[in-house]
Amino acid sequence: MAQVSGSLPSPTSRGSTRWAALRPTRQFRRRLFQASIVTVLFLAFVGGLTVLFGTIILQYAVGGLVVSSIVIVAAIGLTVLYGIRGFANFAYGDLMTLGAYLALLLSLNGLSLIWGAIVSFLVLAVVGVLLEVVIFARLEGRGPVPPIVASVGVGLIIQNGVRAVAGTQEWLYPVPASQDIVLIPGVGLHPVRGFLTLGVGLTLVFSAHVLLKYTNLGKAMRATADNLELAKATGIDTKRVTYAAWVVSCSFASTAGVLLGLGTALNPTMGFDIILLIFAAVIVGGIGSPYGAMLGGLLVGLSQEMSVPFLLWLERPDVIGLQFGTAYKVAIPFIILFVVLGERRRSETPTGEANGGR
Amino acid sequence: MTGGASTHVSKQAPVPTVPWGGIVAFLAIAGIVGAGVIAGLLAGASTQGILTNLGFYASIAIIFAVLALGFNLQWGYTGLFNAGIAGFYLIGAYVAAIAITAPSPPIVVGGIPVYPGHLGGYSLPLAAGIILAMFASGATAAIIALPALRLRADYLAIATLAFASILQIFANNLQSVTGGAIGITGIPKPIAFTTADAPFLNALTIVGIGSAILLLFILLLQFMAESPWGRVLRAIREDEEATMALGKNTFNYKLQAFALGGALMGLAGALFAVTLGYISPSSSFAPSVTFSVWVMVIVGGSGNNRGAIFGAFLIYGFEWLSVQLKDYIPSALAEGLPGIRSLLIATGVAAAVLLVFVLFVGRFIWPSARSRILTTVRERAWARSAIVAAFVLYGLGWVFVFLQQYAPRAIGDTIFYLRLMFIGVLLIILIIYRPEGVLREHKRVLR
Repeated sequence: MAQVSGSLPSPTSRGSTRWAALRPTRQFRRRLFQASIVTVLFLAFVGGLTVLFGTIILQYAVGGLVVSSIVIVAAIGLTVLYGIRGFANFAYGDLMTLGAYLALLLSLNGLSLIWGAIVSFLVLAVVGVLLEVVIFARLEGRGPVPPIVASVGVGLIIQNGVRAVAGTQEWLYPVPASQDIVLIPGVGLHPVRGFLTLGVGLTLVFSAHVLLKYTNLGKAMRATADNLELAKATGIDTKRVTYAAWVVSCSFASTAGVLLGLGTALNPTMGFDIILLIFAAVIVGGIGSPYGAMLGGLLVGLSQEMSVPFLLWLERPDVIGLQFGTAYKVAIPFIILFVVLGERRRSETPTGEANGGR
Repeated sequence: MTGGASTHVSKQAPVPTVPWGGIVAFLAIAGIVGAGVIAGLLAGASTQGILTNLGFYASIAIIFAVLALGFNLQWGYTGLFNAGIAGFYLIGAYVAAIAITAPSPPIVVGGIPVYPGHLGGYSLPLAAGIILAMFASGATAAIIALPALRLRADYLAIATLAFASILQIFANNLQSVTGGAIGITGIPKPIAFTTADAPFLNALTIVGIGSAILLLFILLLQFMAESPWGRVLRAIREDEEATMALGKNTFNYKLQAFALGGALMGLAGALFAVTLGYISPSSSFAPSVTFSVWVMVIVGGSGNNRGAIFGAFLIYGFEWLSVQLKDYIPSALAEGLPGIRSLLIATGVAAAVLLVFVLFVGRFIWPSARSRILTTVRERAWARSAIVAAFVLYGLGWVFVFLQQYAPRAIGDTIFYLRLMFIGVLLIILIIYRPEGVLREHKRVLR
């Protein structure tokens, strides 16, 4: 390959391949078939539960979709970075917190929340690049553990910085009060907390899809995540790809944080509390795979919210009389995580760099 | 291992004989103890009160040292990264507390449940409680490790962190077993004193028991680390595939090391329950415990038991000192904010002048100074660490001033947050610049 930089085909052929990629291939049709089977099974499951327990199940399912959309946005951001940089960013939850508080700060100082979220989206992208330049670039090639330790340090700094500046009390975004929009009797969704979150989540998922599938940067990112050395050998500017991954990851973190804050309230540990949920989604979907992260996020969010009626059932004195049963809903994704880890054990073999090289 | 001159090994580069790491370690801990004593004297505490306070420092530092030893066995020797130290610590504390306390039924005042009670209350002797705690934590560690040990290190980190947070949820909500948010109170002291100086005598017994256990385990761990077993662990850390190729069942070794480390963390939990006399799930078992232990082991030098203990005494010393000083500092600091700011500005200007002098003027006056002072790589690394540390402290000072000006809060809180931020900064700086720690691992030449 003589012309290395970019290593792109000419624009015209690029355009035609791009449209060719859109045409449903055989593999795509098989995927579509599988996805529709899963959807039908899921709908049948929910329908069955609804018949048994009434429309309350549908309410939980819709709530689960909203939670899932937040988890999916965060999981895409985390998994992109995980795949390309090869380490688990434990500061990701705290980056979400930072994004949420930045948007809050701006919205309290005259900007509307939407502009606050957009500015925080951009600021976090810069923060991500700075983190790579100042800290994580120095830890490249030293195994997975040193970056984890450094990211925990970053997380501690952000979390306690937020505490020191904004205090430990809960903050609320200035959201206009409004009634839930009733979908069917008994099932409603808040226009901002529900529909807006779903809409923003879908938009980001779609934009991530477009970025990864139909742009050269996305192609380079997928190649780098697949095999760093090979990507370098084909002339991909992996440094640029790394920065792009940080930008995508941190800006998605900011939006996920704002959505999370919209759903409930802002507090300094909001991101850290949800980080394991996101890790569960990422691992279930397969590290470095954004499409897996979408599926994993859906599974994790839905299973967490839809376990609530079951836990409420366990709370009844005539069953086992579990106290504070709904508090355990957070534990459900971890059970999925452990099952998936046990399953994955068989498919992966330990390698030389498996242990935390120091 | 490297006894005397050897004919097999060619001449090595001259190693500096001054044990700088040890000196720094000793001075740092002596400084912390001294500052604590001075703070106590300024507050007008009695000798016994100061000694009790120091005893508290020593006993909690010993607990952290045991935690750090456990983590060192897992990470420093075997390379297994555990992010759920707080979870194993919690198991040990709760198991020991349930085993050794007297039964405590639920308390209901006027129809309102005040305390939900907790499981058991078996009034077992302390030794039994400690052994049960170690067993429970070790077994749990083995079970958690089973799915994750064959995977990459980051899976293990995520799995253990998830495990620790699940345990905290359970400790908070499974009221009939753990006593809920209140926790378990009335954990008996090893010896029940009734005299007026009971706190002092209690502190003394706890420190005695703790240091005996610490001594026992450091000797045991040192012995195990030097044994063929420990050699296999280090070999796994360096290159697992090569160790497998030598016919070792690395999975078994990793499982053993992880379970033993977990058992040590359970022991620390049991000691903690006895030392405080009560446990509650809120702050004692928060993830920040895990991160503090990481800092301790990294400061001390992973793969070095002495270093782990030093790190525990040093890092917990910061925390203890910040609590000691919290009572005296607030008034002084709140009034002296302009003074602090001018002090910071003066320091900054002085540092800048010094820097300019050293960089541009000094080389004309004393040309050979640089090559004479910082000769070895190690000295240069030390100098760089010192400069970075000075910058960090200076930056933290400014952060404090700005926080007090623009987001005024109780100074104690601000100091608490700044301490956690400092731990974060320390983690980043150490892992970038000095991953081998202050007391580095003693490299052995095997022949």
